[in-house]
Order: sequence, then C-alpha cells, then structure tokens
Amino acid sequence: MAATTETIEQVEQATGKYKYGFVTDIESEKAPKGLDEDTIRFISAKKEEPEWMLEWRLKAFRRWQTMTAPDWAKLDIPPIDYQDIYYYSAPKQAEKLKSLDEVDPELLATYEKLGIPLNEQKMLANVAVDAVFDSVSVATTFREELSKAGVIFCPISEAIRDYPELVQRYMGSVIPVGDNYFAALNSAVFTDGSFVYIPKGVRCPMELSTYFRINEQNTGQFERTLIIADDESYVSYLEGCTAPQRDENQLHAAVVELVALTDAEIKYSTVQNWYPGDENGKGGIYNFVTKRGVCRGDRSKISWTQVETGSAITWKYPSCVLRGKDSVGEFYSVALTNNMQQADTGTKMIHIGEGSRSTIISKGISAGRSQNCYRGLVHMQPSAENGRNFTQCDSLLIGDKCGAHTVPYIVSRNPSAKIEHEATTSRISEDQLFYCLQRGIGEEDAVSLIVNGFCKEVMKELPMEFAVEAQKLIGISLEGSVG
Amino acid sequence: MPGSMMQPDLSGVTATGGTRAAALARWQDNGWPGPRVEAWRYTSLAKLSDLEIAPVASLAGSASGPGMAAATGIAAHVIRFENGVVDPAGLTGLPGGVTIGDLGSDEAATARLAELAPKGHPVSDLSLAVMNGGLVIDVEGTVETPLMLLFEGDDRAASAHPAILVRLAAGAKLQLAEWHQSSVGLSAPLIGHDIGAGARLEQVKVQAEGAETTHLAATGVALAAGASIHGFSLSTGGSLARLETHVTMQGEEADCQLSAIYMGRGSQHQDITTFMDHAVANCTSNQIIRGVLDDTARGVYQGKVHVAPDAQKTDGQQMSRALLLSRKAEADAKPELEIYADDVICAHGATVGELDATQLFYLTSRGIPYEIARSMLIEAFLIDTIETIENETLAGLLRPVAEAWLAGGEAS
Repeated sequence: MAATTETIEQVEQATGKYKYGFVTDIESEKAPKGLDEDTIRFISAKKEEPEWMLEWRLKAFRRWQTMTAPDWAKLDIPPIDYQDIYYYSAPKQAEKLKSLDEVDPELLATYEKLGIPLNEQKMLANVAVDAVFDSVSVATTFREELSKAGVIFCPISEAIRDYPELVQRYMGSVIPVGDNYFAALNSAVFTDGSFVYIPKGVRCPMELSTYFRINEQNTGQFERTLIIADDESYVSYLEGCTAPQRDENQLHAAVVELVALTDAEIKYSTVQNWYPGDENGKGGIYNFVTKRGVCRGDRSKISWTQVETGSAITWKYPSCVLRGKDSVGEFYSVALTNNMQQADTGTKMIHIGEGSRSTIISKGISAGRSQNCYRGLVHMQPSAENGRNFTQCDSLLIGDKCGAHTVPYIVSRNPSAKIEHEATTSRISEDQLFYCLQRGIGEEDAVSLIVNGFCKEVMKELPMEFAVEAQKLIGISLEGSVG
Repeated sequence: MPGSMMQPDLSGVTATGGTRAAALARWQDNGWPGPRVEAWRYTSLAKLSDLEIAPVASLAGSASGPGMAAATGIAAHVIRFENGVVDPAGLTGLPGGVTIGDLGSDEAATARLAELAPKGHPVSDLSLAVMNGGLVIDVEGTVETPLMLLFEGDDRAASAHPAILVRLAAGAKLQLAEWHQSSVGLSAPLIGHDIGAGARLEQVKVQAEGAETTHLAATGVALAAGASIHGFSLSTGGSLARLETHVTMQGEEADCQLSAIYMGRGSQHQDITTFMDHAVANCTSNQIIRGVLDDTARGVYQGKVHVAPDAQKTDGQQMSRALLLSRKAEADAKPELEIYADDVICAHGATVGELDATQLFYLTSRGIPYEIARSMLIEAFLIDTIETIENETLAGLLRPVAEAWLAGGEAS
C-alpha cells in the first residue's frame, strides 16, 4: 500500500540518515586504553577526587569483576572488549573557564551545528545548559540565577569536591554499586555527569538541561547523574543526545539516580538520538543505561518521559521505587527502531507505599529489520495498600521484516492493589485509514493522523523545549508529508 | 546430573534406544529447572529435588470398573489410570471411530509426541522416558461419545508418568475430558494432541489432585490447516500445580481457544503457562484466564504469543484476570507478545485486584449477607468464563468442581 511505503520512507528519513554525523577535531587527553585499578586511580586523580570517592570506585570495580553481562534481554549484543576502550578522555582545556568566551571556538561551532547556540539561548530559551563534551563539562551557564534560588546544578565531579556530604549521602542510594553489570562498571569509571539539588520549597526557576555528546572515537561515555529534590520542591530536567557518525561501536553506560523527598516532584525527559548504525547494522552506539528514581517522601512524584530513536542497541529501564505514601510514578515512552536497531526498554514500578500510583504508557514503533521490545515490571508489595497501576503498551509495525515484543511482569502481593495492563500490536489499521479517506482526508494526512495519534499520549508529556526536538526525530514522519 | 536427583531404574529405557533414550539423556543432563531459569521464575521446583521418581510398574489392586462417568453424570467412555498405569478395562468397548494402541512400542508415535511436547519442560523428557502408561489414541470421523481420561491412584510414594498421544485424523471430531484426582507424590502427565486438517477437538481438563500432590502437566498441541481446539482447564487441586500447554499452528485457518481457571487456597501454588506459536498465516487464538486466590496461595499465569515472520493476518488475543481474596495471597502474571509479522492483530490484557467494593456494597445494601454477596461475585467472576465453553456436556463437568471449591471456602 502506497501510504505504508511512504511511511517507511518517512521513518527512514527520520532515523536512517543521521544528520548529526560530523566530527569535531579537538585534541583529547586520554587515559590509556583498558580497564584495571590503575585506570580508575588515573580517573580519580584527574578529577582531583577525595579518597572516599576512589575507594567507592574501587569497590564498584571489584564488584564488577565478579559479575557477568546480563543476557536476558531480547538483544543480540556482539561481545564487548572492555580492555579495548578508553575510559577517560577530556578536551584539552587546562584552566577553569570563567565565561563562554573562553570556550574553544571549535567546540562552540559544534554546538551550533547541533542547534545549541550557547550564547544566544541563555535568556531566549530560559534553559541552563551544562554541556558535556566527551567527559568533562566545559561550560555551565545560568549558574548564578540558579544559585540565587539556592539550586545546585553542576558537574558531578564538582559536586564531589564541593558538596561531599550530599553526594556521599545519596550517590548509590538508589542504584547500589553492584546493582547490575553496567551500573557497576559506571560506578567504577564514571567521568562526568550532572548533579542537581533543589532545596526545600523551591520550584526550580527554569528547566535544566544537559546535552551529551560523544566525540572521541573509542571512548565510552560513563555519565553519572544525581538529582535530589528536597521537600516540596520541583524540578524538570531535560536530557538530549546526539553523536557523530562512526563505524565503530561505542559503549555508553550511564547511571541516573533521582531522589524525591516529601511532596517533591521530579520530571525527567530524554530525547535520545545517538548514532544508530548504518542500514546494515554497522556501527552505532550501545546504550546500556540504568535509570532509577526513589519517591522517598510521602506524596512525592517522579515522571520519566523518553523519546528513543537512536542507538544501535538500547538497554534501558527507567524505574520508580514508590516508597512514600501516596507517591506517584510515571513512565511515558516512545521507542522508534529502524534498519538493524535493537531496543529492549521499559520500566519498573515498585510499589511499597500505601496509596502509591503508577502509570505506564509505552509506544513502540518498529520499521526496517529492527527489533523493539517493551519489558516492564509492576510489583505491588504487601505494604502497597490501595496501590494502583495502569499500563498500556502499544506496538506499531511498519514493514514485515521487523519485530515488536511485549514482556510485562506483574507481581501483586496486596489484594487492595489494582493492576491493569493492556497491550496491543498491529500495523496501521486499514479500517481507520478507510474511515479517514471516506471523510475526505488525504491518504498521507490520514496516516499522519493515525501515527500521530499513536504517540500523542507520550509526546504531550514532553516539555515545550523538547517537543520541537522530538518532532524533528519522529515528527518528520508524523507531521511531514505522511505524518 | 544434579546431585540431589533421585533416579529410577531406567536400564530398560536405555536399552529401548531411540526417542525415549534421547529424552532420558536430556532429562539426566537438565533435571528439574532451577530458580534462574526464566520460564520457572515464579514456580520453584526446589521441593522436587529429593523426590524419588518411582513409576509404578503395574496396577496395584484389582482393576476397578470405571465409576467416574456415573459420578459426573455424563455418558463418557472412561479410560482409567491408576498411579499412572493404564487399567486395561478401559481399552475395550471403545466408541466407534476410536482405536487405541501402545505408545511404548510405537517409535513413530513416540517421536511425534516428543515433537509436540513443550520444549524445555522437564516433564516432556522425564515422562516420555519413564512412561508407565503410554497410549496412542487414534480418532476418525465424528465420535459421539465423549472420552474421559481418568487419573487416580493413592500411592503417595509413586510418581505417575502417563504419556498419551491423541491423533485426530482429517475431519475427525472428538470430545475429550481429562480428569486428575490422584494422590500420588508426583503426577506428571505428558499429553499430545495432534489435530489433523479440519478436525476439531473439544477438550476439558480438571485438575483436582490430592492436597499433597505435585501436578506438573506438559501438553503439546499441533493444529493442521483448518483444525481447531477448544480447550478449558480448571485447576483446583494439588499443593503445587503447573499446567503448561504449547500450541503450534502448522496449517492456515487453524483456531485455538484455550481458557483456564485456577483456584488456590491454603498454601497452594497454581501455575498456568501457555505458549501459542503462530507459525503460519491466517490463524486465530484466544485465551481467557481467571484466577482466584485465598489465604497464602500463589497464582501464576505466563502466556506467550509468538507470531512468526510470515504469519500474516494472525489474530492472537489473551486476557488474564486474577482475584486476590486474602492479604497474603499473591498473583504473578507475565503475558508476552513476540511478533515478527506486521499485518496482525494481537493484544493482551491482565488485571489483578480484589472484589469490587462498590459491587459488594450494592449487593449488601440490597439485604444480601456479606458472605453470600462475596461468593456471588466470585462465582460471577468465574462462571462467565466457563460459559464460553460451547460444549454443554463438557461445561457441565466443570461447574460442580468450581462450586465445590467455592463452598469449601465458606466452610473453612
């Protein structure tokens, strides 16, 4: 059918031709290839870390050495040689930067190509950007404005030096060092990431954003993000990624920890568009991410929204541990795979607190020869009196060579808890198309309407700033000639 | 071989060679699945590790006449197994169109049963290897009289390993009841339904084993073009029960309706696991699962619908609902879709919860005592599922069992 073919083309356009495939030529300072305790000591020394941090890393490393990579996901992961990776690579910038003028112009040009005009966007977008270039944050804006509100937003390496008591208290409290293979690896070798602390009663005056970017060939990115929302505070955090086109696979194993205290709310949004590899599955990023938030206080809320279009392999389950009474967890996801991409993504909602509620909305779109799997857990513990979960997982197949899979796990140990799960898999319904055509809507518009409607529940959860970027990625197919 | 695994004397099987010897070798390699095996994550077989596998070789007492048909009030031809051993009395006077042979001496049929048997299920290998009652039931044409396979036995030290291949020739029609009410230590039936083109099997299974019995059933179904199975299982007995069914659609236009109710109380563990393999195009499958759990019982439903790359126009549906009646009961569900074709309609739904408080309030506000209102609602939750069974005769078998369970709850 013409419209379907068109949709395939559109999806290919959206994901197949990677527009951000350029390389910035900046000298890097690297640790030698490979991973042993010396590498970790090197990283820790480079970061001028205190002794306790080094010990923490070494503990994680020793733990990692005893673990094996998980193989339960519906993913075909080529063997990874962990000794053939650079674990530290920093742009050569000796002294600390005071303003954007001091930033390497070539770096700034890169951001411009990515559409992150650091200079202009300050007030315009009202977004503070903590840009991670390879592994070291080189520019942080809006620090002043945020500090007026008492908000701490800085690279995690700075937080380790400046706010050790906060870091020691919360880092690893959500995702312990030995949580899983990739989290352990990250705990041992993480180089940078963001740290956010929102004090009591503060509503963060702007949306916080970090643009990650992998640049140096053969460099694994191991970010570590920690966000703490103290009582009655609110923060919205935006994470977006693009990476240069490469032939070699790059490993990315990030860890994101969120802590929401009493009446606090954290909204975490991601647009992920890393290099997915070419049509034949050559190259592309391995995206093995551990993201988890704890609703520690009563009535606290954590909301994950993700639009995943990139990476060759995605292994990612942003989760919520709903510990507080009447706490709320949300997971909204659009995962689009094309060509040879593989995605195994979903969430876990662990209900512990009385009256805790969770909502899971997952939309998977598979095209080309890709495999797209939703995997989720809803667990009601005996204490989760009147817990409530609603889950909806829909999959859309475009073309007959791809796969769409749904693997939900439901565990209920409290009779007053209610769990509802529904999942559907289909291609664009001919009935719906016919209905639209019959009403005089053109075929392209009709497909647009249907596919757009398919993702809408998730897209509307994205903050304004991100909605545009997300539309660029999926929207070309949804809002363009077909969508 | 796992160290703790007790072994029966199987020199006879090894000497047989062929399919059974291969199954035995697999069993000896794998043993009972451990807790890290994904398919067994919710159901632990740890307590079986020191169970002695002791198939009984011959009938214990005098062969008793089939009294079951009278008890259930249906005019069925009963084939009785005692401690897994076939009672020869049931092999005579068969309804027209039915012939029965010995499975053990039929290598081709044994190989076919091995093909149908759920892959990776320990009973698929174990019961094939050590079968103490092996039958091949061939069916041609329309058989008017229902067949009932009745599994009894009170030897707690025994393990029962009936292995049965039911073959429906093209266009055949059969009504089949499978009734388990033994109190053996381990009841491990391996049953294959090989359903020919255009043939139709209407089947019910009642699992009402004794309170100490572990019931591990492995059932395999193959559907040729235009074939259909309408199956229904009711599982109320045993201390630990797992009813695992794998269905493969081998021909187009096949139709599979597979529903189940599990009911658990005390410390019972009830598991329903299904695998629906849409290997070819234009087939339909539908599963309705209901569970009721009281006390500290645990219920598990795992259902996977697999749609192969060329299985276009597949319609695969699955709906599971579990009702928790007590604070300590637990329900686990894992309804899976694995889909490699685009022109399909597949969906699953799953819910877990307690009785609807507003419904209870409505009934009690109308003067109906709480206990009665509660059992009315539980009954309503289950009965609409039983009512999907088109065959009245077979549906009639299930209702008393479900009602007895509900009544048992009130008494306790």
